Order: sequence, then structure tokens, then C-alpha cells
Amino acid sequence: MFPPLWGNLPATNALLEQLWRELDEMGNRFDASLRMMLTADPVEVGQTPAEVVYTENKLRLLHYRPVVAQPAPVPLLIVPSIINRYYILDLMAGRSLVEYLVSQGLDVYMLDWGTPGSDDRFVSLDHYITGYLRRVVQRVRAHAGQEHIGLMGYCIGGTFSAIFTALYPQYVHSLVELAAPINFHDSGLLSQWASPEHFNVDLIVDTLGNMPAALMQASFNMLKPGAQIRQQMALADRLGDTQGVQDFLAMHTWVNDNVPFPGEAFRKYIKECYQQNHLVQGKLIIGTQQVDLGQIQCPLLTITASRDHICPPDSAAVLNDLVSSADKRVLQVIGGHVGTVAGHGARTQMWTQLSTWLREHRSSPDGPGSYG
Amino acid sequence: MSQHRPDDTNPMDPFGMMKGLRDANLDAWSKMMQQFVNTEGYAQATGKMLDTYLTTSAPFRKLIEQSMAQVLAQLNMPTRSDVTSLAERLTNIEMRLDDLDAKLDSLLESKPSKPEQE
Repeated sequence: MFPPLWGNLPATNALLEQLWRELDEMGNRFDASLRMMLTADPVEVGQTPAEVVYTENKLRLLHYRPVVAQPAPVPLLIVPSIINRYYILDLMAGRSLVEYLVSQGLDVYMLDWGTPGSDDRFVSLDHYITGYLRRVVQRVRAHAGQEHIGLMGYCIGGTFSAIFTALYPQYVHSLVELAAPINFHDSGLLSQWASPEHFNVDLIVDTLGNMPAALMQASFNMLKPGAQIRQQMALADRLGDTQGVQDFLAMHTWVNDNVPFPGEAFRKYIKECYQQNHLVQGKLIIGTQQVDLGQIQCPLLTITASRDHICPPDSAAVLNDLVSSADKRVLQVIGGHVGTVAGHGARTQMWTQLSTWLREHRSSPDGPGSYG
Repeated sequence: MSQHRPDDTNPMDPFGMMKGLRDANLDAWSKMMQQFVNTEGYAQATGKMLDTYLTTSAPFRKLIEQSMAQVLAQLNMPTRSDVTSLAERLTNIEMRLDDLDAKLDSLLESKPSKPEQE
């Protein structure tokens, strides 16, 4: 209790008491931030134990060490976005979707696309799907000794997974789409900004080669102006909360660890998907084949996030109207594009429901669409 | 450490009021910016800005590339465009291999398995 200075004036005392408390907390925060600067370990991300089972160019295929004696027979391959690092799905201990799925007895593989260099500017969208992704799927099948695998794609990785499943349905047992854009003519800002009237993708690719990560990052920041300032202020307000600061730093590390989009793949992705919306119209050609999403017949779970400003819910949910699967479900969770998979509420909001669905659909390795 | 939650409605908590004011200002600014970036004019202006930057900087980049190419040629070293054209050729070869690989896979899968001999 603050000692009464000017008699027993309650208002003055309350004010001084408040001032004292605020100064005390300010001191504590300053002290904590100083301690953190002097002693903090570098943020460790992507820590779930895994071994590399395949590499090609810059990509790596990771197999997470199972923690149960007999993991589910059908392996799950996670395909992350190609413009962000994979470890958002394995951020840090206690905040990792991968760690959670492994603990639930699933046999999990992860595709780490790596960081493209200027020598990758000619790698096309077709190459990503019929080359890299197809070979990785074959490796997972061979490594797990299973004919069919489960696919789970996040963001652009989800778009790739849907295309892959439509082209090669014989390999996919079940499909999970996590905030994956399918209909690109949506209400989102990215759709507006990428329109052919405003965005000259040919000029960018011809001049710069790959689409630079910094340019993409700047566009994403402008989708939610003020969000970064708000985050910095929130950090300043809770500097004394060590765990909170570690969480912030891990997320901050990921947000600023973007990778460039290979030029030719970017050109086709923007033109065919964002500008002409060919995927939903069944006009997208990958390799020599036309992508018909109606070829997807396996069980499908589409997860959308209610406040997703990168992939609005409608853009992802439309997939369920286009596939032929008898077993399909849309799960809408409250949150944003990233918070849904790695936010504080992700475990209760999304992970548990995802894990239940996966376990229900991973028990029988009989074939695509057949499950126990 | 205990965290004190500021009370932005309590006149006895000036810091809480200041934080409340700060948050309200930021909210208003964010909302205004959100509306601004949502306009057709913003999309048009940023597109034009990017195009102008790329177009106007092109001659300078070309000049630098040309002088660099001359220097590297004198030193008997490959230029960036030599390396990227090699990368292009390699990518094309990889893609043709991908096609062959995929065709081989589908051939092997469609081939009926040999009946086991008793």
C-alpha cells in the first residue's frame, strides 16, 4: 500500500498508488528486457525430431520420428506453402502442429521446399507438381511401404495438393486442405491487387527473375496496415512475460523468413490462377494434362479460417463443391491465416478436430477413398 | 511477474487512459488505412509505381550488366546470364526427365503383375 502523503485524500492516494505501480512495472519490464537481451538463447524453431529421407535440388523430405510403437499405417505428407518456411507447422515445442500430430500416433512426413536461388527462376509450376511433388509422394510411399498416402496442404501447398490429387488420384488416400486458395476471384485484396489491370507479372519476372521475398512481404504487410505496430506495442506491454516474448520471437522469425517465388512458377500462378481463375473452371493445364478437380474422389477435409485475409473462407471452401468425394467436410475455425495453424488457440480450435478426422481416415490402408 | 491490466475508463489510472487513447488512435488509423488500401486507386497507384520503377531502372541495370559482362569476359569468367541460361537448359532437361519418369511410372503401374509360379 502506498503511504498517504497528503492527508487521507482518497483520490490523490489512488492516483499516486497507480503511478507507483506503473513505474514499478515499467522497471520490471525494463529489467526483464535487459535480462533477455543478455541471456536469451536464439529462437529455436522446427525442433520436432526428424530425419531427412530424400533431397532434391533445394528441397528436403523430413520424416518425423514416431512416438508410439505402431503409428497409423497410412502416412501423412504435409505440403507447406512455397513462399514461406515449412516450420510454421512446427514452430516450437508446445506450439507445433507436427509435434501434436506425431503425439497422436500419426506417421508424419514434411516437405521442406528450401530457398530457391536465381538458378531456379525457370522452374515452372508444372515442375513443382508433376516433378518435385510427384517424386516426393513416390518416396513417401516407398519409405512407408504403403500404396497410398494422406496429403495435407497449407496455403499454396494446399492448392498444389489439390492439383496433384486431381492429376494422380491413385496415390492419395485422403486430402486435407488448410487455408488453401482454390477460387482466386474472391473478395480478398490479393485478388484485387493481382488483377491484370494493376499487376504486370511479365515485367516483374522478365526484369527481376524470381519474385523477391521482400516485395511479397511488403504486399502482405499492406493487407493489414497497423498490424505490425500493434504487435510491437503488445510486445512492449508484456516484456516481462518470458514465454510470451519467446512465442513472439519465434513467430517474428518465421514472418521475416520468407523465400522468393521462382519466376516462371510465379508467372503461371499469377496469370492462370489469380488473373484467369483457370483452376476452378477446369482449364488449368499442368504438364500435358488438364486439371479437373472432379477427379478427386478421396475423403476431403477443407479447413478455412474466419478472419483469413490471404485466403478468404469462400475461396477455399469452393473445393468441396467441385470434387466427386462422397466423404467431404468443411471445417471453419475462428482465426486468421497463420493463427489457425500456429496461434495460441490453434490446439483447441483446430488441431484436435483435425487429428480426430485424420485418425478416423488413417486406420485402413486399403486404397484411395476406402477407410475403416 | 504479475501483469497489471490498465483500466482505460478509470480516471484514477492515467496510464490506462493513455494506453486506451493510444489503442483507439491506432484502431482509427488502421481502419482508415484499411479503407484506403481497399480502393481501386491504391491498387492502380501501387501497380503504376512498381511498373515505373522497373522500367526506369532497366537502362541502368543493363548498363551495369554490360560493363560487368565485359570485365568478366576479359577475366575469362562466366557472367550471370551465362549461368542462368545454363540453369534454364538444365530445368528443361529436368522437365523432360519428369515427363519420362511419370510415363514410366504409369506404364509400370498399368502393367499386369506376373502370375506367381507354383
